[in-house]
Amino acid sequence: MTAEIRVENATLRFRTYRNPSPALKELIINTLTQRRAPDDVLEFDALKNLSLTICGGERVGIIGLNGAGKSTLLKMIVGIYPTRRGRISVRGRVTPLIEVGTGFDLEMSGRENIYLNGVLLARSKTEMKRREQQIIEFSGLDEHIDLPIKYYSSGMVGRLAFSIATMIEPEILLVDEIFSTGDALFVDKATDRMLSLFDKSQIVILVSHNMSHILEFCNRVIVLHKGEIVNDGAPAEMVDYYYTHIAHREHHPYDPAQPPIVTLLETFAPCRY
Amino acid sequence: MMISQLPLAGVDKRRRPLPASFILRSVNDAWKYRRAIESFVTNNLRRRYRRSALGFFWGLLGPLLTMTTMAIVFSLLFHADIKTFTVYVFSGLLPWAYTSESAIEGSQCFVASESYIKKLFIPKLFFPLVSAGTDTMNFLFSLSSLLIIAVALGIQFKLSLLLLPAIIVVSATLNLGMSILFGVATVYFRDLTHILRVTLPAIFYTIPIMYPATMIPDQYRQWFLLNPFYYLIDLYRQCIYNGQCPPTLDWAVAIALASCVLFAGLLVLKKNEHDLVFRM
Repeated sequence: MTAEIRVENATLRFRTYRNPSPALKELIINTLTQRRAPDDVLEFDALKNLSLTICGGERVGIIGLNGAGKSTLLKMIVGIYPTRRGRISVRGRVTPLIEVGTGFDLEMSGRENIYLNGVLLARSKTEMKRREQQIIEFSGLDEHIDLPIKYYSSGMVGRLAFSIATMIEPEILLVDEIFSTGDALFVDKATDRMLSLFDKSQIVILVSHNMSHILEFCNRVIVLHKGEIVNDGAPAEMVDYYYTHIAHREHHPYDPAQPPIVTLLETFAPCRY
Repeated sequence: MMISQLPLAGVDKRRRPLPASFILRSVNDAWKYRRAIESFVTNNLRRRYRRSALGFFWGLLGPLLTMTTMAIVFSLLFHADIKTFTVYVFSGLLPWAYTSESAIEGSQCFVASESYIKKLFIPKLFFPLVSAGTDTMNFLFSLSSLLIIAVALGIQFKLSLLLLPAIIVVSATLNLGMSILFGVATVYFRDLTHILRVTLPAIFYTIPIMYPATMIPDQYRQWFLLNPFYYLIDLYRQCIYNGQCPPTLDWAVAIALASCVLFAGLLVLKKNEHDLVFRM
């Protein structure tokens, strides 16, 4: 069976409230005094009537300006944000590499956090047991693994988070701008790991501002602008389109002479735990 | 390989309220995440007793010491019979503390988990389950302390004690329901926790916990009997203190209360689960 993601006419509406959580007290008083509270809802559609089909074998890059809805689209596919209208069906096991390290407990040791993260991602205990040693080895934490992670440096936490998150056999891999973390030693390992994950996954969706990653890893690129798909096609054309029509930049930073892998040394977005 | 159909917010209105499928999905979610619930509850408990030499033993020792102190103080001050008084008071006080703590803590279950809700896809039912589970474990600790004290004081337990697990199940159902109900409501009305904190103690005094039921004047008795929590507490009291099978009315009211609250909670959760993430 091949993995597939099908999004039909999905609209995702954010509602922001000037007063996000009114006090019950106010509500009661307003009701009693017959005073209507002003309707302070500000609605905006982060994704508008979006339709998209991604089949097995596709490596889809999503590019667009900040606030175009790229990360929101990933979160919608994962199920974190429910759609207001439309339909999403996902066939295959989704592995999001979004906000890696969420759910870490600072008071607990690295080893305990491996299991905690595992259960949060709904993996079985046997699976985690099988992977525990690999994760520890890959993270390079050695004897520190039984120390509470509040004593870790942020690089160490990042390494652990990355090791847990990528110790998987993904069918559908969603990546939001994370590539590597830690020192140069770890970065090489992490890059290899990401590449092998990309190879093993049936579908990869990569959100990135780094056009060299997009051009290197993707075989299809979607340009998102203000919550809508404005273009969809071959990577090189789409990146051109993005620069000329959306970003309004002439300069093309991708230089094929330089292997882009070296530029993967981005700092890992500090994870929140 | 699994096929998942993600929830859709817009189309729910056409459905009947709380169809069987929602209950089935809830049970399925709870089962699928049982390991996560277990480890969250354990972590919550462990965090409380971390870095103390006695560890989990504190869960038992804490209530034990409190109860011993109170028993001594009350018997000295009020010349109450230490044996019967202690068991009488605590067979009502502990279940009440369990219930009110669950309501107060449970009301925070979604608000306090904002970072999880926004970053991970976890069934929403997970959070009230963890909250109610933690409170239930704490209750089991304190209840065990009470039984230890009762034995130390030379109370003879009757066979009625065998009904205790059933009563705890009723309590746990009620508390899960309250966690869901108040948890969702607090997302919309953030002051609800504070309101509960002041209203629950008021309810506490309308239940014969610190005083015997015989002290209620006859002309007001009917009003006291309108409080459904009265029957829930009476279940524990009859079972632990009086050593007899609680009357059918107690069971009926407590079970009805628990199932209504859980049902209402699930209804509210179903109606709002797709909106919670936008309200955080």
